[in-house]
Formats: sequence, C-alpha cells, structure tokens
Amino acid sequence: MYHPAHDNAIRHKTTVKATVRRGHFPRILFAGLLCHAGGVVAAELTEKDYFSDLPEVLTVTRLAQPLSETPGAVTVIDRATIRRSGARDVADLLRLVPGYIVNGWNGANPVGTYHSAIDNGGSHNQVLIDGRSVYSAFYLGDTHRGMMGVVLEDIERIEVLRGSNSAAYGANAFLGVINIVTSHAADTTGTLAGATAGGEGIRDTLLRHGWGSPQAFFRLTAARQSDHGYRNARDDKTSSQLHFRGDLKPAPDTDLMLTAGVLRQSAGEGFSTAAGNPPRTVIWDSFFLNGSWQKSLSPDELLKISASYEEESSYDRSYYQPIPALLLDFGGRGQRLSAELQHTVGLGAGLRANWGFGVKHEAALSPPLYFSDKVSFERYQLFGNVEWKPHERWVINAGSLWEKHSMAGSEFAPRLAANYRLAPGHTLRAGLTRAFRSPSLFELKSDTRYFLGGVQIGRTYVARGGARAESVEARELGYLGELPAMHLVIDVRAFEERLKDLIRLRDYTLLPSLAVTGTAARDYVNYPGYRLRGIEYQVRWKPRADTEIWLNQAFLTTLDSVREQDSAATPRHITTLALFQRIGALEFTAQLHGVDSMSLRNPVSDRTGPLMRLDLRLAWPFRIGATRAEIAVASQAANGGYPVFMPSRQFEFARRTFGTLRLEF
Amino acid sequence: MRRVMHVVISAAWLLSMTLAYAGNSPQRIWVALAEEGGPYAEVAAVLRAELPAAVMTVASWSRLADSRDNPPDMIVAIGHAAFEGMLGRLTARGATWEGVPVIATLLPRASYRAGLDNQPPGRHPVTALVLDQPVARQMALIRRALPALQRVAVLPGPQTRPYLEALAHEAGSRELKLVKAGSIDAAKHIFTSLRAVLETADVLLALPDTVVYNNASLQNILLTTYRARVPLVAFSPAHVRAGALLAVYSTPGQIARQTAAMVRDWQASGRLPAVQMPREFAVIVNPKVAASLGIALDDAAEIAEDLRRQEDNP
Repeated sequence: MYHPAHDNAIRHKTTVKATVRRGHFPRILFAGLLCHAGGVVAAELTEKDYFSDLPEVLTVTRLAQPLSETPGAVTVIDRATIRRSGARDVADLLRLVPGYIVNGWNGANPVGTYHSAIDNGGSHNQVLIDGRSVYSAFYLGDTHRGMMGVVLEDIERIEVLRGSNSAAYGANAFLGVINIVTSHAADTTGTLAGATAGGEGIRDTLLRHGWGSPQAFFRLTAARQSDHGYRNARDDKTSSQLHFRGDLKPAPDTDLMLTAGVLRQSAGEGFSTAAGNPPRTVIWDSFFLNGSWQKSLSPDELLKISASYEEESSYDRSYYQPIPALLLDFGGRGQRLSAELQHTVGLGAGLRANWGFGVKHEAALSPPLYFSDKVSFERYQLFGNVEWKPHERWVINAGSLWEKHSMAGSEFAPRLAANYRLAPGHTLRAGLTRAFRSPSLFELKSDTRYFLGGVQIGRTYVARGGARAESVEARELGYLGELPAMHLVIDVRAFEERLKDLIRLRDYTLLPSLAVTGTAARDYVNYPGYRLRGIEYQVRWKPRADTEIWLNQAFLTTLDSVREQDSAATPRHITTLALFQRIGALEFTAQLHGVDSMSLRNPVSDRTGPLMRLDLRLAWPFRIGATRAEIAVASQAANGGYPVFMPSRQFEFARRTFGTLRLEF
Repeated sequence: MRRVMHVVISAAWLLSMTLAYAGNSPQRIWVALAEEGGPYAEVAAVLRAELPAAVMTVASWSRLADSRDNPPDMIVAIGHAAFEGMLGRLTARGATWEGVPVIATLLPRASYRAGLDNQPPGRHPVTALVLDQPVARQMALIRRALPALQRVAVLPGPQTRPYLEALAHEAGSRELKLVKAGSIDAAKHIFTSLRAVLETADVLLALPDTVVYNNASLQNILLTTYRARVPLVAFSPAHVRAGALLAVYSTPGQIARQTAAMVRDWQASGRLPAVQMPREFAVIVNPKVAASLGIALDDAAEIAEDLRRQEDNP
C-alpha cells in the first residue's frame, strides 16, 4: 500500500544523507532553499516518479462532470469572458445566458430572472457563491443584493444551470441556478489594482492581494463601486466590499476553504410623488463567514462538510409625505446559519451516488415589518442523487430533495434525467423534475403596522401564514453538439415549465378600520400560476484562434395565465450575439442584446421594448517589466439609451462609456 | 612500483578478456536491482529471456556489491539506486574492478547524470538507456492526440533548460507554438510561472525536472492546471494515473528489450554504445480527466501506433 507521507520521509532522508556524505556543497544549499520556500524537500527524480503509484489527485469525485453527462443545460462564463465582456456586475453577465432577462426596479438593484420576470428581486433563482446560498433571510428571499456580494475580478467562473433543479441545488432552484465560483486563492497570488471611471457617475476601484505557500493560500480583495443608475430615477448607488478567501491543505487528501466578507451598499430609492415611497437613501449592510472542509476518503469517495453564517441589515427610514410625523421604517436585520454534510461515493458498475443532509436557521429582526421582536424558522433537508451509466452511451441521473420547513410544511423535489450519446460529440438529453420555492419570512409572517404618537393608524401587509411553497414541474428535451473539428459547441433546450401555486399578494379587509389605511390590507396567498413553453439554444463558435462568436436565442410562450402581468412579464424572444476578437495586441468585444416587448409593472403603461442594446469594449493588455497591465474602454448601450422598468416615469438606461486601468504585479 | 602493478593487472585483465572472446565462453553479467520486485524484476526477467547465452546473476545491488566473487564481464544496473550504488562501491573495491563496463537502465536522464557527477571521472566505461522520451516524440504526441490545440507551455527547470531550443524547434516544425515560462530555479517560483503560462497555454507539457515536478509540487500543479482547464501532458504514467491527461512512456519490458540490444552491441563490438533514449514506447491516457475537460481522445494504442508509423516513415 502506497503511503505518501512515508515515501516522502524516506526520500528526504536519503537525499540529505547523500549530499552530506559526498560533501556536495551546492546541493546542500539548494536543498536549503527548497526547505525555506515550501517546507518540503524535493527528492531527486528517479524511475519511481514513473512507475510507483502516486495518490490519485484528480479523483472522479473531484472532477467536474463533462457537459455531455450533465443532467441539464449549462452555460459557463469563465474569467476571461467576464473580463472581456466589460460587465460591472453579475447581472450584466446574465445577458450572455440564453433565456435570462436582466432588469431591475431601479439602477441600483439589477436582477436576472430566467424565462419570466416573475419577481423583482430574483427570488426564484438559486444564487450560490462558493456553495453558499445568498438569498435574503430578512425580507422576500431576494437574491439580487446577495449577487452583488462578490467582486467580479475574484470570479473564476459562473455556471448557470438553465432549468429547475431543487433536487441537486436545494429549494429556490426554481427557475435557474446561478453558481458563482470564486478563484482558488492559489490562482490569485500577487497584487491587482484597478480603477474605472466614466459616464453616469461610474467610479470603481479595486485592490486585491494574494499570498501563500503550497499548503495555504490567502487573498484579500477590497472594492468600491458607484454610479448614478438609471436616468430619471433616484437610484445613485455606492457599494463597498471587503472579501477574504483562504485555501488550506492540512493533508494531501484534505482541503479547507474559508471565505468571509463585508458589504455596505448605499442607494437612492423612492419617488417625490409617492406618499408611501418617498425619496430616501437605503443602506444595506451584510457580512458572512463560510467554511467548507472536504476529504477524499478514497479515489471514489469524498466527504464534504460546509457551514456558513450571514447577517444583513437594512436601514430604510423616511416620513410619510402627507403626515410628516409618521415614520415609515422598512428596515431590519436578517440572519441565517446553515450547515450541510455531503458524501459522494462511487459504487462500481458505472454507479455513483451523492447524498447528504442540511439544516438552516433563518431569523428576521424587524419590529416595523413583523410587529414582533424576532421571527424565525428552520429548514431541514435530506437529499440524494444517483448517477448510473448502464451503457457507454447512457447516463441516467435520478435524485431528490426532501425538505421539512418548520412553518410551511414538507416538500419533495424529485428529478430524473437521461443523457444518450447518439454519436461521439452528439448527445441527447431528457429530463423531468419538480422544484419548489418555500415562502419567505415576509410572505409567512409580515405584519406591517404604523404608529403615530403611540397610536396605531395603519396596517398594510398582514400575512396570515397561509402561503404554501410554490412549485414548478418541468419537462425538457435537449441536444448538445460538441464538434471540435468545426470548433463549435451547440446546446439546444426545449422545455415546458408548469408554475404552480405562485405566491402573490391579495387584498383583504381588515377590521377595525384604521385612520390612515382604513380596512385595506394585503396578505400572501397562492395563485394557480401558468405554463412557460419554449425553446432556446446557444452556439459557441471559435472559427479561428483569435475569434469567438456566441449566439443565444430563446423563444418563449406563456400559456394558461390568469393574470395579464404574467404573460406580459415573459418576452416572446431574447437574443444575444457576442463577438470576442483579438486584433494583434488588442482585444475587441461587441455584444448585441435584443429583448422583445415586455412589462414588469403595468402591462400597458409600463411596457418596455422591443429593445436592442449594443455593448462595445476595446482593451489593450501590455506589460511593463513584470507588471501586467490593461487599458480598456467600454461602452454600454453604445447604440443609445433605452426605456427600462417604468417607462411611465421615464426610467432610462442611458449610454455609458467608461475607461479601466488594471495593473497586476 | 604501484604503477607497474597497475599496468601488469590491466594487461592481465585485457588478456583474460581477449581469451574469453577467443574461447567464446559465456559472459558473466551482473544484473543489479535498485529494489527487489516491481519494474526492476520485470526488466531482469526480460533480460534473462533476451540474453540466454549469458551467465546472469540477478540480485539487489547491495548484495552484488558486497559479493566476494570475481568481477563480472558487465554490470547492468536497473534503476537509479542500483547505478549510483554499484558505481560507488565498485570504485571503492580497487583496481581489479576497474574497467568493468556498466549499463544503467530504467532511470531518468537527470538521475543518470547525477550518478556520474557523484563519481570520480573515467574509471568505468558507462552508458545508459534513459527513460526520457525524445522531445520530437513528445511534440508529435501533442499534435496527434490534441490536434485542436496549438500553444504548448513548458516550465523549464535547471535540468531541462538545455532542451528548450530543441523543444521550440520540434514545436515549430509541427505548427505548434512553444510558450515558455521564466526558468524555475526554486519551488517558490513554480506557481507564479505556472499561472503566467496558463493564461495563454492550450496544453502544458511536463518535462522531467525535479525542481518543477516532484512529489511535493505535483498535486498542486495538477489541481492548478485542472482549474484552468488546461490539460497536462506528463512524462510519467504514474502522473497520468494521478490526474494528467496523457503521456508517452516506455514500459519496463520495452526498456529491457532495448537494454538487451545494447548488451548485444557491446558483445559484438567490445565497445559500449552511446547513451540512448527509448525506441519502443506506449501511450497512456486518463479517460476520466479527458471527459471532464471535454477533450475527445482516441484510443491510446491507436495514438501510439500512429506515432510509431510517423517515426518509421518520417
């Protein structure tokens, strides 16, 4: 049985003995240097490096699934694409994903939703950053703010799983999973400094430093971003964040990742003409701690334990315009503590299983929103997935998640998918699944009361706890063509997503009547939902080493909708065409993004589009000695601004051009 | 007086050698193993089969070195430890053992060189069959197995720096582009250089250099290249099993057959052939890593066969 530690010890001894005995001075010096550098002496190269068994490093459990075996459609955006896109936040990047609609109720709150702008905060997306789910615990389960809690330069890749997948990614993986993976700290050693400035108030700065030895690498990243958001909207935003990541290797078969971060965002909100939503500045603070420990028990077996704690607090106070003494407070604090254990094991005969359990405790502390000191719930999850290759052409994936929610009852999310390889490079996929989204604390427990001089004069949101989880039943057929000879990858997905029990507001009469709000109150209840049917594809073509072309399209239809807003929130088609071109030492990017007419508010007065947005970027990477530098100019909506979210209030995403300087040393 | 003795003994030795040839008596060959079993025993077994006429003594190098027998006609040292150990002890055993030719086999070029450097020069005629594959074969492998890739990165260390020019030439002649990292002289430089080349490389070719690829660094190199989704073409089958994409290498049996041919050359000519690189080779691939990286690889045997054909008909 090979034992790496033993082997190293023996080799170490032999080398040192040999060098001393022969009095080979330069070698001793050399060994000394290595000791100093890595703490490990490199043994002499021998035939053992060829013929003895080394520990398997890239074990099956560590390897990412190839696209052809992935049970579903995936769009991967890597670090180089992120840099070359000119994007300033993750939402910008989602335009590169077929079927994604990028919007935001103002410029400070960009959001991406898959297939339908089903909500304004991305609460139907699962957003993971290094395995940590970032939805808001305190309010509506929004993910859009959490998604801003990462610095783009730290992202290694974003994997967007197009479709529903609660079985593998937990509740909330309702329509789409945005899996953000930041770079391993070993890949970001050295210093990176960057500054961006341009139109619409864009002022961004970044400073990152990474250091370490092969056993432990660390990184600290500080970033600040600000801009004026949309035209005609009160949404100037400044965000500051500080992140830490440590990657440690306590033993050759063990990895420990630790991340932590703090984020403060200050953004304008409200309208001078809206009594209950007056102009103000909202300050949102958050911090998190996240750790994940994994150990290869054998080449076929991996154990992973992860835990995270996060806290957010929102300061959102203003005064009701008709009664200046009436305080409107939408602020509060949210907390989440999560822990999960996952075990992956190869069972032989083409069978691989993954199972685990997790627990989440979520709490909101906001007397104005909940009329209570603290509301909280627990979620217990048990999950398992089996991958079976009965034949070299077939991959079957079957999995499920069971969740017990201390307030909303139990849910079950099964999934079955099959991949069939027609011929090398041609794979057919079929999948059937049920996914769900548990109601948020606000949807279950909101009780928003207003007081004047200690007397209750209003009550607006009164959730009576009747909301059950929303669910989606999805069926899909897909094709993946990987044609290396043509430098082409095509991915097609045809789908039907049956959305059920969507949680919506419903008016109801509250007695006795209150001075300001009267008897009108609103509760969260389940509505029947609707069906989304369509087809989408992505083509990635690299005709030459210096040229890459992406083409994405989605064609969508809404069926059985009982509310006009539902069909209005789904554009009939979305197209993105992107060109990434190297011209000598220069890098040029052009992205054309088109979205058919749609509406996120009033289906008539707030209809936007059809819109066509062109983003351009030209960059010059160069070197000054050992320093790598890049100067870039980017223009978003280079073809002119366009109406966005609320055309009735003249909201406009105006053309913005900005320059960036980056230095890496 | 001592010099006269030396001349007399040498003359006697030469005479006995000549008589041995003239009388066509079977030659005594010591086969010194670095360790019992494993690839060493495999090489020894094939040598026995390939050289049936020789009187062969196969044992661990330390036992042979301590043996009180007369000097053999030749020593074949299998593995680094056997070569270095035999050479050191023989030198210490005095004049009667001088001149016994040694063929070192189944060891990397760097460890053969290191073995020579540690000896006083010139007392034993030595040669070697090293495990290092010719750079032309390495480049041909990349061209054949990964036709879509163009930029081949290398991390040169002190032992492999001399081959950079040849690598660049062989890459160029196959329309590949060599991406060189700054030379690595200490372990602490590995990851800075690796990250720099991975930015532009399509594939990383590992060269047998202890400073760069050793037990301490290999795991991190494999993980770093995998995160960058750049395949690693290794020099060792063990590295492929650990997570590299593929390698061209020579099996112990192939090494043994070529070693036997070198012994026969010596028997025929009385002279040791020059240091050789392997003529026969095999290809090993890691299909799991290939699949995960989305790389379609042909069958290893098919790739090896095509490379052989190319070498036979350049």
